Amino acid sequence: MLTPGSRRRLLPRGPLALQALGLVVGLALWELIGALHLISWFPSLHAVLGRVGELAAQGKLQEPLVQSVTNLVVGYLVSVVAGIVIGTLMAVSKYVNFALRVYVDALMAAPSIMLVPVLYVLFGLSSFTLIAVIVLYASVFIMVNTRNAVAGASSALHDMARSFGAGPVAAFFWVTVRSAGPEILSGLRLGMGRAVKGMFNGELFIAVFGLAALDKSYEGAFDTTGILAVAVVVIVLAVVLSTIVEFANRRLNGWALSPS
Amino acid sequence: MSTDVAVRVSGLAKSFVRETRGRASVVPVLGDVTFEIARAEFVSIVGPSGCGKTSLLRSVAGLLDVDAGTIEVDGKAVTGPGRERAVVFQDFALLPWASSLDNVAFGLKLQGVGRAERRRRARAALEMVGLDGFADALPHELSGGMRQRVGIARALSVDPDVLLMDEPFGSLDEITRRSMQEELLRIWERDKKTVLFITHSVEEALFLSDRVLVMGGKPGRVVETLTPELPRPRTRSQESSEAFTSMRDKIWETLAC
Ligand SMILES: Nc1ncnc2c1ncn2[C@@H]1O[C@H](COP(=O)(O)OP(=O)(O)O)[C@@H](O)[C@H]1O
Ligand SMILES: [Mg+2]
Repeated sequence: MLTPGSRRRLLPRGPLALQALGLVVGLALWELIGALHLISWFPSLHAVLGRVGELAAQGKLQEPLVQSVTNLVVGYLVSVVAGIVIGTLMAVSKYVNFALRVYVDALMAAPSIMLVPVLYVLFGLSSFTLIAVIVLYASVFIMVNTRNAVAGASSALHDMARSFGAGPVAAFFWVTVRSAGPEILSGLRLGMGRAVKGMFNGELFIAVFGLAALDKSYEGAFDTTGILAVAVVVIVLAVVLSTIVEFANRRLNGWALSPS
Repeated sequence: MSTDVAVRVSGLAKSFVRETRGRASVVPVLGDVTFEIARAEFVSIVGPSGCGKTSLLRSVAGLLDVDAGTIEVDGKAVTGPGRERAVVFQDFALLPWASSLDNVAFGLKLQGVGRAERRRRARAALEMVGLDGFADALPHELSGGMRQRVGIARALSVDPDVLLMDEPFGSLDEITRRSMQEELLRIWERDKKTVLFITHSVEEALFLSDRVLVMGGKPGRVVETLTPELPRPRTRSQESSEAFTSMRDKIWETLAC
């Protein structure tokens, strides 16, 4: 604890090994159940991965994937900016907080999918609707985490910065918001998961776009291998994107991740 | 005459508005606080918690607007934070993401000191508090005592005329606390800064100070002033001297009522 200049690890070693083990066991079980035909309609892992490869080779995967990911990235970025700005305003001004709290609470509690038809009616059959759904899903979580983080940030640090000559605005952004960083980032991580959910649910509702459209085409044909192939792509996508957010978190907020 | 006075507080009053179940009430916290601190004098304020000590220190630091009264430092009225004052905070107030060196240099950075110069001065300040080997350590890698050494180094590095310390050792264990008191006196003997030191420990106040102001009452004010005329440099054996114990008893009597 007291060694000067001790290096901090980016990823914990032990838990990572266990995670890998858990994953390998799960995949092996999947392969076994599929290969032994224990459940008649359930395809093996290699059949599903084979289908993913086939789809990619035929070029059927690329276009929906690009469509979905583009919407996801745009929707997520809008959610991040809106969530952090509005969440910060809610933390700073009790009037803003009072005015918006009803909507935020409602969106947190109610199933967001209820509002998808409304957005569809408003924006029609366009990626605009899909992006709006993603924002609807993701922004509220980012907003709430930001609000709580900034509201709960230490006022002692703000005082400290002020005492050494920082203006109130500079002290707020460079010390208060910065110290709220880890909690804001955990909102961003939650928001990423929600964004993927929003992406897929929005596409499912409209069913002519992206990965969900591909999924729907297999659903009609009871093609479980195809459905699972799309599922694997979506899951891998979600994990990759969460890992990117998590990596940013460790780079920016490593100080908060080590035990105090 | 007036040049010998570093801090002059007169008729200071402050109330807070408190909201309980939607109802606002005005709570007076400081009522007519008046005292002076001479240049290079070490003055402590003792008082029970909640009597307004932190509010008083924040007012002198320029972090809190007062309702009535005046505060002058170096003959100038205090209207906000200023370079001639530096604060040491009770809970250290270190940036958790910054190394010891960057924490110490933070004050210098805000005052516009260039990078090379502020690193040099921050290193010197870290050395002064005995933390030369820990420049790269983050706050959570340091013990409580070491964290407050960083806090003290940060305040010293900007070379203020007046050091404002709000229960700086209040959250440290007894053993660390005593060694930090001795360390603080050692640093103070070197270049005697004017110190306003807040504590709720009577012994700490007597051991460190030239003068002890006792705060009490609601709203808080200075109810007693004592001058522990113990020779410097102070030693622990003085704590069992007649002068020390009788003054301690006197303060306890004052605080009891
Ligand atoms: N910003 C504030 N708003 C409302 N009440 C406050 C504020 N700061 C302090 N108080 C109240 O003022 C009283 C004195 O607080 P403080 O100055 O911290 O005393 P001490 O440092 O002696 O414990 C306490 O009752 C506290 O709750
Ligand atoms: Mg206090």
